[in-house]
Amino acid sequence: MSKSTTDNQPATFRRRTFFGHAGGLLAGLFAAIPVVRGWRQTGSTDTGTASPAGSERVKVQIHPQAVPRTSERSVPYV
Amino acid sequence: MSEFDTDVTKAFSPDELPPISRKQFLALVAASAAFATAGCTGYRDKGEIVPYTKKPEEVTPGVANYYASTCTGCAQACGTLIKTREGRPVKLDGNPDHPVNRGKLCAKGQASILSLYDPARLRTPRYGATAAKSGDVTWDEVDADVVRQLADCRTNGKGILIVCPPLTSPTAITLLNEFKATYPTTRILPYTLLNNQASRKAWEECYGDAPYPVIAWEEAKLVLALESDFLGTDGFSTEQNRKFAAGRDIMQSDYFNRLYCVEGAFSTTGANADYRMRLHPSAQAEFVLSLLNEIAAKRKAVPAPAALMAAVGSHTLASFCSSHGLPETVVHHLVDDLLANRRKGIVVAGPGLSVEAHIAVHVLNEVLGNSDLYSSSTELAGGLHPSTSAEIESAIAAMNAGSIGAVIHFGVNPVFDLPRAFTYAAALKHVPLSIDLAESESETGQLCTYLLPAHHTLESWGDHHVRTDVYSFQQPVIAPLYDTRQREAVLLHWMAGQTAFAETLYLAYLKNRWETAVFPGLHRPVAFAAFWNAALHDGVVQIPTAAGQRSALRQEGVARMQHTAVEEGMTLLWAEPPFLGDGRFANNGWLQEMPNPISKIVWDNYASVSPSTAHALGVAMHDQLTVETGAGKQTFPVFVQSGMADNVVAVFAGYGRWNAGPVGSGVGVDILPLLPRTAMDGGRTVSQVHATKGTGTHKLATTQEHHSLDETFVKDFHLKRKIIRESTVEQHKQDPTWLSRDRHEHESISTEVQYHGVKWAMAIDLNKCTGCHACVAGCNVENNIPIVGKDQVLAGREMQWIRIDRYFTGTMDDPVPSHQPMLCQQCDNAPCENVCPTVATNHSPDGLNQMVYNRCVGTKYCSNNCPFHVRRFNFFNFRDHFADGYYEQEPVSLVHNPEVTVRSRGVMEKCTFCTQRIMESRQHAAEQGMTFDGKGVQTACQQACPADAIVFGNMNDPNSTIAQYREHDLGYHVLEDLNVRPNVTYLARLRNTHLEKPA
Repeated sequence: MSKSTTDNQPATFRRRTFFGHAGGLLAGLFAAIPVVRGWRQTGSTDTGTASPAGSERVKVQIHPQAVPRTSERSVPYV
Repeated sequence: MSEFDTDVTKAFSPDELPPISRKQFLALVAASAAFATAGCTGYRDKGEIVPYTKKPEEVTPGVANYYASTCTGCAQACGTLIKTREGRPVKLDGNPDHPVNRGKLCAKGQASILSLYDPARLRTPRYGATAAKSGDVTWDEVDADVVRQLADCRTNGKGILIVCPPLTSPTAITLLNEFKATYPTTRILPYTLLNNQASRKAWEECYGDAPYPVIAWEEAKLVLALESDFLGTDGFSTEQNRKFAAGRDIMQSDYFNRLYCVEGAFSTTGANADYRMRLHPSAQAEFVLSLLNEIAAKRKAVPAPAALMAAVGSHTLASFCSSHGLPETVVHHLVDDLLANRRKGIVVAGPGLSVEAHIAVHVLNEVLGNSDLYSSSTELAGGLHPSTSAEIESAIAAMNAGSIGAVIHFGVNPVFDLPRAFTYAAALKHVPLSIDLAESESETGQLCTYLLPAHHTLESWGDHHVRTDVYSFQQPVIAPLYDTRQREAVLLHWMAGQTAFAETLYLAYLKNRWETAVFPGLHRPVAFAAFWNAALHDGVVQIPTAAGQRSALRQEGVARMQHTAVEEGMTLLWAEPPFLGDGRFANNGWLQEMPNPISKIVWDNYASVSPSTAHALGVAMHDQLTVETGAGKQTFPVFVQSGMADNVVAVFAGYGRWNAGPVGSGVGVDILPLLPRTAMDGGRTVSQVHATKGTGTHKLATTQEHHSLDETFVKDFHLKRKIIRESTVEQHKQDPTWLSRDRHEHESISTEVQYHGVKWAMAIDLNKCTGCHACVAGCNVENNIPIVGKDQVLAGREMQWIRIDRYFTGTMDDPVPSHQPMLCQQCDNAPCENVCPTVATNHSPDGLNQMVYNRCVGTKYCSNNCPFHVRRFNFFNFRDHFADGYYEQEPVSLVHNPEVTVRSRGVMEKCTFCTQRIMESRQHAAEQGMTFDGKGVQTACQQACPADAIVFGNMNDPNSTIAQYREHDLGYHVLEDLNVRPNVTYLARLRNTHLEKPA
């Protein structure tokens, strides 16, 4: 007994539908992740300061006029 | 047929099969796998490590840089030393070269680094709620509009009001005066809720305009504190802690000071007193008069002028003691001690007391010759004096009348921290231009035309003059993180009119003032540039100043000595909170989670009442108490505090903010609606208070019973189990081996491990520790301790590695407190190590009980087996869990110490003796080719401790301080009988009481 057309077609159709849906779902999911979790772009400053996690938008720089302790003091105690 | 045959013989029916097909099942599995995979991809971007393309000269990756600056968290203006890593500040400590705080910093100062990275900081200028527009605005637009409106004020004669704190910066004060010259209608209104006006006013009554003295606490053999928390929140507490502790240093000092404390509330100072008596605050003035009567009239021990005799004539000490329930024996000891320690003792009154009480105290000090302890080398320098209630009222009346054209809030929040009776918020609506120059949004900013983002103190310049001979310098240690400006620079820019703004505006002004107005008078043999660099390098400049001649006590002062009648009914006694200031630190989670030194409550303020008062009011712990004053009504949760005076309701200010940020808003109850306007004139009591039980309850989170070594309902368990060892000074002198006799050498069936080379140990001197919690704050910042929130504290999950245990013995009315910093004891026979199935906790060759976080699987066996309850488990990733991930936001991670792992969920953690500092020191020794001897390593808690109560070092070095502490007669280990061999030695507390008083 030969198989009818309707016996063959739905199987192929369902497989395609499944992959189509699954693919679409995955694509949508991956697309939504950055939106849901908050997109954080890694950046670096012009002086190359590496920013710790989650701080990419903040530019960390030393203050040019400040005098650190680790430099040698050139005059006697004031 | 057996029961198993039924289903076997049942006919196969496809209809009864599950409706899901194989393909559907596979599709579901695939989709589930896809979801699971997608869910795991959400890890936060950790950033990239990129090399410097233009490396700043001062920065070496991985090597810390230090800057000296000044803390502006309160009026003490302590010198700070700020550790930065790759350009970002990660730790604040005291500046060792600073003559006032000498390398120490309080809990508020240390935790204030979190405010720099607070996500709630203002980042750009913004229109406020009362502006015609909304949203962000550029600085240029603001400048143009403000300069135009200020010029209009000048032309139309409308006032400009600058509301500021009592500034201590001479340059900022000069700038305000110049602003006033540019805009002549300007009026400066300095104020602070936490003022000390009563004491100042009393000083003026007694000594005219003579400078306010600094007390030489280290020379005081006797201290009588009257409602004064000088070891907690009053005055220069960091310096006072250090100097007071120096007077009870059993290793260095040849004497031991004695502290009497008479108070209505229960303060940190009271907890450290040798004798503590409870007394209603309104009776304090009469108490001092009675003491004067006893000393001058009855015992005739001091010359008694007629004015003095007239003032004290009717106040006998015996009748005072009987009417107020003071123990006569103790009071007579007090009088004897006051007389025996003339010129070597000091009587201090707290800011909560009336002017009359302060005058009586000044007179008592004068007749006893105690004024000799007013330091002759330095005095408190003048800044702006806080305004009186009349001055504030007149300014607000001008606002209401429409005669003020602009109000500039210069780092203050009057809508929140002025008594609501002033109706400042309503008055602000009558001002066309209102500006809030602030670091973050506040209750005041909410009602302004412009919210202008100001630099954090670590991004700012400044100079501070709090002692006549000391100038403390403030310099930025990081370039501004956002589009913010320094407040002073904003004013300078508005003075100049429409010119371009430069970030260096205030630096240039500051430098110029020092170069032209100060430097020439110093006659230094160097150029100004070198002087300036050295001043910033050191963070402090000392300019010897001739001590002012203290004038004699004015007779008018003696004549004003009187007492007001002891108040009938309930009295509200409000106080500065130990860690929140006037509310400015409300959004700082570290400080909200710092347990109150006495009640151990976190994340709340509350109404403290004595057990008798609670009984009379019909309230119990966690009930609500409605407090009504002439000014308003508020409801507080109740905390029944033993040792408080009856008929007193004590509350802390600084809580109840409604626009502090996600952490601080809605925490606690605002007390400002209860305060009258006269609160700004000094004194912190409100009489004739009506207190009634409110409806409902409010659960307070207290850490008192968490991680307890104590067993509930066993009285004096801490003494019975020898957790706390105490005696008196006299008993110790008579029998110095009382404690060491108790030591037993435990025999071991196994071979003892020999530690060659360095072996780490710590000693904590309970005679010096005042329980101030600076060590807890220092540890939090150094070791990246997370904030867990009130709900988790209620579940006993606070994460602090060091806690201050507080014990009470004695009676409900007269409790005798003891406290003890408790941290990992780094036991040699550590019971936690034996039970760890993954060997995540193990022993290092230098005696450290160390944790390997990557091995830990969170069984918590170690925690269960620790007799000291010092291990902390990460039930969550608390940074993500707390306040909807508030502390996961940009840029909070910048505050983390990069030398310490940030722990995540499921990991056990505990004190490491700051192993990162040990490793750094070891590395330096290796680099220099030296043998590592363990010298120079300081733990964070040790560095923070203002009393120098914590000693750390190599116990194998017989010459080290730690070895001497370990061998001291008073040294003991907690739970010594367990033979776990702790490496933290406690020095037993001695109470300097008279012998008949039991220890």
